[in-house]
Amino acid sequence: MNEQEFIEKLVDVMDTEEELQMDTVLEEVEEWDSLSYVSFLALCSKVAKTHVEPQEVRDAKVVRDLYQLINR
Amino acid sequence: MKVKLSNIKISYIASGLPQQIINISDYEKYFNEKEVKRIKKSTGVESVHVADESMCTSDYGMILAKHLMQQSGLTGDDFDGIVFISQTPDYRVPATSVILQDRLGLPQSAVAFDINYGCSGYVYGLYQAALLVSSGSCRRVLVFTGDTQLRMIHKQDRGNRMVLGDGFAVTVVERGEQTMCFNIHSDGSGYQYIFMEAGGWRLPKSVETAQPVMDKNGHPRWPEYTYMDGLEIMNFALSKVPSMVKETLEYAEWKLDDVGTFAMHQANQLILEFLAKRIGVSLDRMPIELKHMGNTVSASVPLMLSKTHKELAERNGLSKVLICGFGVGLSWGALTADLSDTVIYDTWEL
Repeated sequence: MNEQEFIEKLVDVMDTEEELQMDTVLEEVEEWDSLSYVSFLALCSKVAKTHVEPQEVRDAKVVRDLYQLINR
Repeated sequence: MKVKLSNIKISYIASGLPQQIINISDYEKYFNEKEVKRIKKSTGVESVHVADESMCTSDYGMILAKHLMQQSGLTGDDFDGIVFISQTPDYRVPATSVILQDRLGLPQSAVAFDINYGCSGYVYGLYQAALLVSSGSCRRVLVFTGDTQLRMIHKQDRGNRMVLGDGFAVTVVERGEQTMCFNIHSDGSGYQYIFMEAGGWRLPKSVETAQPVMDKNGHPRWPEYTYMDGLEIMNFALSKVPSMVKETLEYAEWKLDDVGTFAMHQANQLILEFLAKRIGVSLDRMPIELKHMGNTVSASVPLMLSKTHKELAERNGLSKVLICGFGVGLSWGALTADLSDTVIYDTWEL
């Protein structure tokens, strides 16, 4: 999954109208909440190459961190 | 902590919901419409019940317990213990359980105490009752779980108001032939993740505590109302629950496929679907029942069983049941039980 495809999926997961960039700070996105967090983990279960732990997602600070988790 | 307790059984489960209903869509008038729809879709909650303003948790407990006694033929004299699990007691002093001992006509020789827990409370209540019966201290214990919790949620706390609901349950634990396995964990380092900061002795209520403060994410939180850090709680539940389920099954010497029903705390649909995947079970063995009652904290498991017991019994899903709760504290626990001979009543309107 390239960066553009990932951003599109993340916009879907968060159901946000904000323009996400790879360096967008997650805490600054209003929709990055507990629901988006679980939806992202569910997305990881489907498409991530390796197992992603909940704590790893919790530790992510910017969009790029999530991208790296799903693609590692 | 793990323990096997013998010579016990869960003989009755009854649950009830207050009559007044709030439709989650009604919040579209007060909050962002798109956000309300998003929360509703993810949590699976369309409406919740809310306690009448004139009623306390113990009032609902009394109605429910009296109704159970009428249906079962039991009387107050048949009980020698009562455990009241709630975060909304009648008074700060004394314990609500002792008031219920009198109101329900339990003998003065009965033991009565309260436990302050929420979403893990059903496991705690059953554990305490099982200890009392298994040790020989009691013959039959009434376990009450439930809260008038919507009163503790600030009107502007949209996340919590749209998923939490009021609900109540009574469960009877008595002497029997069963052995139940309990597995309970605690982590007080996360005590601030579900938190009503003001009103105790650490921070008494004052003019200041009536004002909102900002949480670490820059969102308002009201110290006199329950606050929940949703991200941290979700992280906690998803990290801890799958391994606890695995651990409990190993301790009970049950295989994953042996379990007829995973009776999980009904937190919200999204989290339960995710837990089912992580644990590796289909949703027909992990029932989700919160569309019309929301997350009813310590009453959520018995309410779910009241709603689904007929279907579960039809497919022999009640002989090996894993009950699991997780939440405030932080605390999380599970137990194994055979509910195939348990009388489970349909949910009553209170």
